Amino acid sequence: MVRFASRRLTLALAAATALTATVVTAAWASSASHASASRSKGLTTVRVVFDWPGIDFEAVPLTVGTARGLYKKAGLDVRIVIPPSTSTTVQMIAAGKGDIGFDTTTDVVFGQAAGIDVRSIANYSQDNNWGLVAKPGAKIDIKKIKGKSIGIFTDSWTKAMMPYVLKAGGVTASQVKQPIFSSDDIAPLLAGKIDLATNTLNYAIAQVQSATGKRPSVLLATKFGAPNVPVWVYTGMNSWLKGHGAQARAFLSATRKAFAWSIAHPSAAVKDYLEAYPKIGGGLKYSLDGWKATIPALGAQSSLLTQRASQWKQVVHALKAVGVLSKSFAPSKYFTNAYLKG
Amino acid sequence: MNAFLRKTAVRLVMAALAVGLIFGVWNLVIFAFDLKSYALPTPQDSVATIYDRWSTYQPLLLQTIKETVDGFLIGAAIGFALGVAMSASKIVQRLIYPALITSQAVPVVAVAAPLAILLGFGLVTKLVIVAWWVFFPVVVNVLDGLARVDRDLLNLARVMGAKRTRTFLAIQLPATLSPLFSGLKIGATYAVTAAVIGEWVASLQYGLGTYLNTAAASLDTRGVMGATILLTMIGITLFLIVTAIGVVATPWERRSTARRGIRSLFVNDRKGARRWFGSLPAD
Amino acid sequence: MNGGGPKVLVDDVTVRFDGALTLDRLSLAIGRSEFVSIVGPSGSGKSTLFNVVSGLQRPTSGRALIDGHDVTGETGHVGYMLQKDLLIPWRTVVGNIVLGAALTHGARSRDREEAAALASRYGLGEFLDHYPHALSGGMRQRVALMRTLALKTDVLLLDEPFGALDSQTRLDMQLWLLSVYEDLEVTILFVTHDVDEAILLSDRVVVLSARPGRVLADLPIALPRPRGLDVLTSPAFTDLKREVLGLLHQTPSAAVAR
Repeated sequence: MVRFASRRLTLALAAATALTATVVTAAWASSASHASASRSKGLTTVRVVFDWPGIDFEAVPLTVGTARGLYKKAGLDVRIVIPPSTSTTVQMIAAGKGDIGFDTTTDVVFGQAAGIDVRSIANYSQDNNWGLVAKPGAKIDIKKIKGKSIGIFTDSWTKAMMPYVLKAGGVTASQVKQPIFSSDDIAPLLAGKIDLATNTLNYAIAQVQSATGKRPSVLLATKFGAPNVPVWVYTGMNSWLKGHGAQARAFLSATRKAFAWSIAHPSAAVKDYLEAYPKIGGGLKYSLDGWKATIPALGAQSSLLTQRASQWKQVVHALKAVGVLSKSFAPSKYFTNAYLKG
Repeated sequence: MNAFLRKTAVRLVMAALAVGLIFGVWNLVIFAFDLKSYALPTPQDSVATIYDRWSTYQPLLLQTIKETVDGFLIGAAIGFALGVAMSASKIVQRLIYPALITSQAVPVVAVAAPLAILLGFGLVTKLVIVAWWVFFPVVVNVLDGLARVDRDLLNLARVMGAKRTRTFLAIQLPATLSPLFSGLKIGATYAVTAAVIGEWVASLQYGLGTYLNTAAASLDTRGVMGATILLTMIGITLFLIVTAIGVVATPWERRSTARRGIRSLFVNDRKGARRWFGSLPAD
Repeated sequence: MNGGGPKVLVDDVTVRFDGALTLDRLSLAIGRSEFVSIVGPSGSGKSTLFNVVSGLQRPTSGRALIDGHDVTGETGHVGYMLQKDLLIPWRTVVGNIVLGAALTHGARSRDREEAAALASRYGLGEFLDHYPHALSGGMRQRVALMRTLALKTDVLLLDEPFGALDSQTRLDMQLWLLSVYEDLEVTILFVTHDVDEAILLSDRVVVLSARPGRVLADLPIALPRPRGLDVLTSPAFTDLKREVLGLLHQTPSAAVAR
């Protein structure tokens, strides 16, 4: 009986030791392989982490920057990294798996609240292009949403915006149905399973036009009182920015040129994008419709990428109002325009 | 009764140790990889989160439990019925079996979205997805159990002048019990994951699966881990309940004699080796 | 009750299966309360014979009659027991004994009482609510025999019931079967490979040929009853054994003694 017990104990001890050894070895191996910016062909690699587990037309300026040699001229080799899921961009640059992130403003606010020292270095879009979407030809009357089903997503931007929808409609959350979708609320909309969908309108328009050839009915949230704050930004960890300020500046300067070019030559820009991602890019019609629908939100040419402190104040305020923000800071913690100069 | 209490105490201690081991490795991984809390919170933090946010978690938990349990029961019933039907008719078996296997090979995540468009965003879609994953191991096991009934025993029943339904009820149906519960245990572990996938596709009523996504989107990893722990507990609990029912339903697997009474539930004195129908005498 | 006719009559039975002849115009008459053993080489169709008599299998030609009634292809008239005990694992000893009743009209409390009495009478009184896996091989075959007896048929077909038991247990079971047989008025057909067993138990030993099965010899066993262990070593027993073995193995000294 004693021998049996001690044999069990020995086995347990051996298993625990083996497990610990494995874990420690793996940790050591992974830390040893932490890649920092590497040099290839005399260019500095900059990894930009996308915001979605799949590439789409919002990456057009980045691909144009590479295709037109704008990044090369700035001494950079820009690579787009696709994240494994929809909410890991911030974590990836925090873990060093990317240098610059492309994500939403709310991600930055939540990141700081979670103790991640991430900073927004440029706006992608200037305007809030989130809104309600209905089938082509259907009318959207914000006052008549009581009892309707409005498809929403899981992200915090939606969560921050929905109270404005409810307020404008004069209803409480319990007076509308809000089915949550993980990836697509346009298909149910077109199938008539929900009355309204929510999305940023560039995607909504591109998807509906792809599926039906017609433009959907849309209503911008800013039209019924939502703050006009940009949705997407470029971000970087403060720790990376400190040591790579020159690269950050070079990146943003080249990107601004890429933006300008892509806005002026949308078809050619989309062609560049699809040449870089021929198989997974999304098809010509969808990408072109999407990019063209994104352009209005990018703001005036003169203020491309520039951020305002007020936008951050408004985002924080909106998130606090819905009660999802535990910690908030002054706008200067969230953004800097310093890397846009030069 | 003393022996039973002692055994139960030992089992509980082993379970606690197992949990402790998991928590220990968890903490070790965080330490070794230097993971910040936004990447992976500690188990202590995660458990504390459940406690702190119980009022948020509770309705979500109940919703997911409802989807899991109801879907499990439906899947079990369908699996059982199909198993019996396929055993009764070789034609039916040849027709249906390939379709069943295909249904499992199809990635549910791919089918889930069209399913939601077809059936809506409410409970029905979730039940279908859960039942989808649960029914197959049940079918396979029930079919197997019925196939293993000794032909000679069925012949013996015929010689005795047995009626078909009585043969089925007395000999074939009970033969499915042990394999049925094996299949149900497998199904029970899948059921929670299936419920979560169902919630991911579309949710009119929010459950822990929806919470996983919304919390992740707010970088609320504590909330994610809290929900994950709760989901794991649903799975484990369902498994244990099914196991317990299986134990009660198959006393001959554990006992030498049949006895009445609650105390008999706790006896395990089976000495003979477990064999299927004991067709050749033991020893 | 049919006055003078045989209890069981196998009338000119031929069984052809897949082109192969298993039984060839086999006829056999068994009288009331006779104990008849059937021996023969493997594959001589002994089990097929039992399938025909029990009604499990329809012969290609010929009939089976019990008490003069044609029961060809009809089940429910005989008790049947195999080498496998086929006890149902989730039924207790009593539950298994009443299986016949359970499968026909449903086991009633009277059936269970009779089963309990039967089991107690034959030494299993302590094990009434035991599951089969808790019993030894010999005990399980005893339960199987009691299950067969509980059907209350006059005719029992026993197909090598003790074949899987060790020789010690087998001997115990044979003596026990003898006592059961002497208690009741059953007619028994008994298939075995064991010549000793055949002679010990039966009134007649029927020797079948190799496939296709035909009756080679039908030997009366004139040993007095009740029989006990001492029978096995008596000179008469040895003579009979020599005869049967000779018939089985076709040696010249097998003068046919009819």
